[in-house]
Amino acid sequence: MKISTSRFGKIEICKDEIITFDEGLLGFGDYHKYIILNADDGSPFRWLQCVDDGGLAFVIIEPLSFMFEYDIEISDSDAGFISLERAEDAVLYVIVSIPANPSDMTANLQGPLVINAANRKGRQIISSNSRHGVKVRILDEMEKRAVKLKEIQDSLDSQPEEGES
Amino acid sequence: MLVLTRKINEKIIIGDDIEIVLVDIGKDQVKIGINAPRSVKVHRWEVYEEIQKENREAAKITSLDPLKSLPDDIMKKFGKKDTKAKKQ
Repeated sequence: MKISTSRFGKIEICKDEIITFDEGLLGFGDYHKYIILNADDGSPFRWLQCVDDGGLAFVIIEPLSFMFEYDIEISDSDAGFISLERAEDAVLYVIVSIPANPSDMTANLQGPLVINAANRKGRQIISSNSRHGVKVRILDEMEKRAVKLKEIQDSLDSQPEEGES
Repeated sequence: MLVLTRKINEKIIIGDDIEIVLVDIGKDQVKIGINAPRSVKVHRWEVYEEIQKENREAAKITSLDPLKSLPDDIMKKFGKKDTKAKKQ
């Protein structure tokens, strides 16, 4: 099927790709069907394009593409809502905001999107982790990740090799 | 607005399946227990409002072009999920 979008013009989409948010995203309760489009530049950013309204889209990103770790507890009620049975079926995205200065772009870690890959149902959940803010600067998280990775690398380098002669 | 007076452990029922119980009363706060079906979302109002606001702001983005002004080395740092420290 073809849909008209304000950002990408007319695009051809496959019905099987549609992700259904039965209650919509917070503040957008009337819009239920979305598809995920890759950014054309090969970056980890994606577009969550609404199918019901071609003018509505969000920039999203998988948290682990800029964070060292992102721990989230999916409540029984949230899991039940999208019939999520196995943790490995859960695909997580966070919504990105890009202000005038793009290096200050932020991710909403408190309201992530959980998609059940098994049935393509999604829900915007609210994280109960108090460290998850709604405006977390992405470049800061990348910086933190670089520091952590360096620490790990350094600790491995300082250990003697095992099992090799 | 309907205003009800309740004592500790007394309940209110909303519709057929939403139950509110007053669990505790402190000096300047009350603890409330809520039993509701899965389809009913229950959140602190402030958090709900903040995420709605953030969603509305994010929906205004029309292009990723502004990211092109970021230094190349920043964009390269993204997405390296497999950048795990390796033993040489």
